Amino acid sequence: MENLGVDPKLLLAQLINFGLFFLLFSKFIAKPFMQYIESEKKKDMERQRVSELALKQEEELEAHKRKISDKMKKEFDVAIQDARKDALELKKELIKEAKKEAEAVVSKAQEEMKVARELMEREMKEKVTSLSLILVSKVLKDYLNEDMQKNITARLINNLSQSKQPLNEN
Amino acid sequence: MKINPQLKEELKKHLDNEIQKSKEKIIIFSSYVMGQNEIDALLGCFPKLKQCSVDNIVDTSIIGGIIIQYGSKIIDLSIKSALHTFQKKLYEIN
Repeated sequence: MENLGVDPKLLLAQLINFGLFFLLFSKFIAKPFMQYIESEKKKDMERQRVSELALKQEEELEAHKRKISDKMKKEFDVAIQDARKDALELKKELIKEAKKEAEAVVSKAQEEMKVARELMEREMKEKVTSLSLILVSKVLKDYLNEDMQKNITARLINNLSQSKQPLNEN
Repeated sequence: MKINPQLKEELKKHLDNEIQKSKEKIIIFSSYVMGQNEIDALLGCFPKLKQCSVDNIVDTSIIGGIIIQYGSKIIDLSIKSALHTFQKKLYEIN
């Protein structure tokens, strides 16, 4: 061994050194280090678990939100449809009422027009008859001379005398 | 309101007198002055009125014919009245 350049004493000392180093390292450094790594690993796992849980909760929350949103949308749609239906019915009702009122107004106006026309016709008729009467009176006054008037009186007396019940009996 | 009975009686007498006077008088309205023969012929149609006095009043507005007023009664035989009747009939048409 000496010929190969290996010193057995030094080799032994190195082996003892290595053994001591291994012993000390494994007892005082490797163990806490491993514990630290284990705890970090656990922490990581816990973090991952919490993260997964949070993700899951977030997904659930998202799903819940979506569900609520869908529900709200459906309710909103239903409410909109109901409102549209109500509005349509109200519109129909209003149109019907307006038509009714318009018909009443038209009917009233027609009635008023009819009354006004009748009144106007009556007034016109009265005026025409009054005017005719004035004209006839005027013409008769100008036309009838005393002889004619005497003839009229004579005819009247003749008629009175011929009547079966004379007026003095009343 | 109470009316004095004496005053009421006086008023009644007065009105009776007035009615009696008006009954004794005939007013004939005509468009010209009527002759006595016409008046007599007219009174011939009313025997009860022969005793009454007659007044002839000329009223050209009656156009023609006569109006006899006796008491509170009026017999209207004028053309004016006939025209008014005709006018009323025209109003009543329709």
